[in-house]
Amino acid sequence: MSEKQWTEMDYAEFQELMDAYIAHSSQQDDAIPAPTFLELLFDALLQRVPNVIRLEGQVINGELVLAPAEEDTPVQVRGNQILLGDWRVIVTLRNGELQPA
Amino acid sequence: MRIVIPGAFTARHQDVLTRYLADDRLLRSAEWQLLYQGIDILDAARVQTDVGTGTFRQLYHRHIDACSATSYLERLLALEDIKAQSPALIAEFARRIAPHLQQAGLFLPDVPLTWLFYTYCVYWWQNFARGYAFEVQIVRDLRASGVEFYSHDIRDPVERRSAADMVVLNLTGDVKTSTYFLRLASSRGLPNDFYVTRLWTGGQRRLLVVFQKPAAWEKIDGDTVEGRLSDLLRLLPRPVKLRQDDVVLIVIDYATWKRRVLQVQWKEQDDE
Repeated sequence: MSEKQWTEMDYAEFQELMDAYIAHSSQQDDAIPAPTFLELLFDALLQRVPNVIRLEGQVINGELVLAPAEEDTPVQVRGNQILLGDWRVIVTLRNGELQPA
Repeated sequence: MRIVIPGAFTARHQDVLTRYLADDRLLRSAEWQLLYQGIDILDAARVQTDVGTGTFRQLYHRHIDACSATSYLERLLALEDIKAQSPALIAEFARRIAPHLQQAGLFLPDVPLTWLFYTYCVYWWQNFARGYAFEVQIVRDLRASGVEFYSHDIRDPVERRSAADMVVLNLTGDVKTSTYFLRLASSRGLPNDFYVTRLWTGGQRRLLVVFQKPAAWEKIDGDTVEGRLSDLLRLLPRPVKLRQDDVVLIVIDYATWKRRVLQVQWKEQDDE
């Protein structure tokens, strides 16, 4: 197999790479060695923050509109409001427009 | 069309992704971490077209999962021999991804960034398809072994997303391939009592094991030997207690776990 990056490949080479990947990955799981797997598993559990919910915002007609970045988000989002248990989080834009960070 | 890849996805991620696609057996430990990190970053990459905008994750769900998951699972469940027959089925569905995305205008030969979206879709499809093939294999094996358990109906899209794949001895469990297991651990921790997975130990060797929380193993047996991560393969099939700071997991080989579960279930029946 070529040492080329996919960014350096032409379309035919890329197709060849993907055809080969489909053929071998259909046969078996990723070949992540057991010691590496254990290391990554415990690292993940130790570093994990409790829960992350990703929202994305857009300004539409001057109003902030939030939406879950992923499906199956355990919070409700309506316009610029986030409903979280007994809490209603209201997010507004300062001076009605996005401020540079 | 415009594709926006987050700046956090660097040339190193591209490099490791290409090498993973070519031959994942050559990746070193740190490169696996880099690969998973890169894939996670791509979740948030965006595709902007005339008809709207979506992240790679959203578009994968819309164009791949929603269109193919249920029909794949129905075909999978109809197979007699999952281990022997599922690779052809997995490949058949994976090969449908390119024409489907091309038809949707999301994979274009002359727009190389769309190749990255196609790669992302194939990566997750293969993990999804292999994951369920593994789950069905385990479910059938437990049934054939006489273990009493409840398992969710994977044909039902709602039930498929249930928090646990199965319940055994009132313990909730999941059957996960290693990739999904790691993704779950980093995104949600390990909410269930046990996880059946398989470890690659080199060559063609895959070892079926069960990771359990200590309380779950207490209910089944409780006996363990203490071990370090590097000792696990040497200590199995004995139940091994692995501890890193506050995280404690008991790992046991699958056949032994199944035997101990059956012993508890038979004892419960005798007591009744």
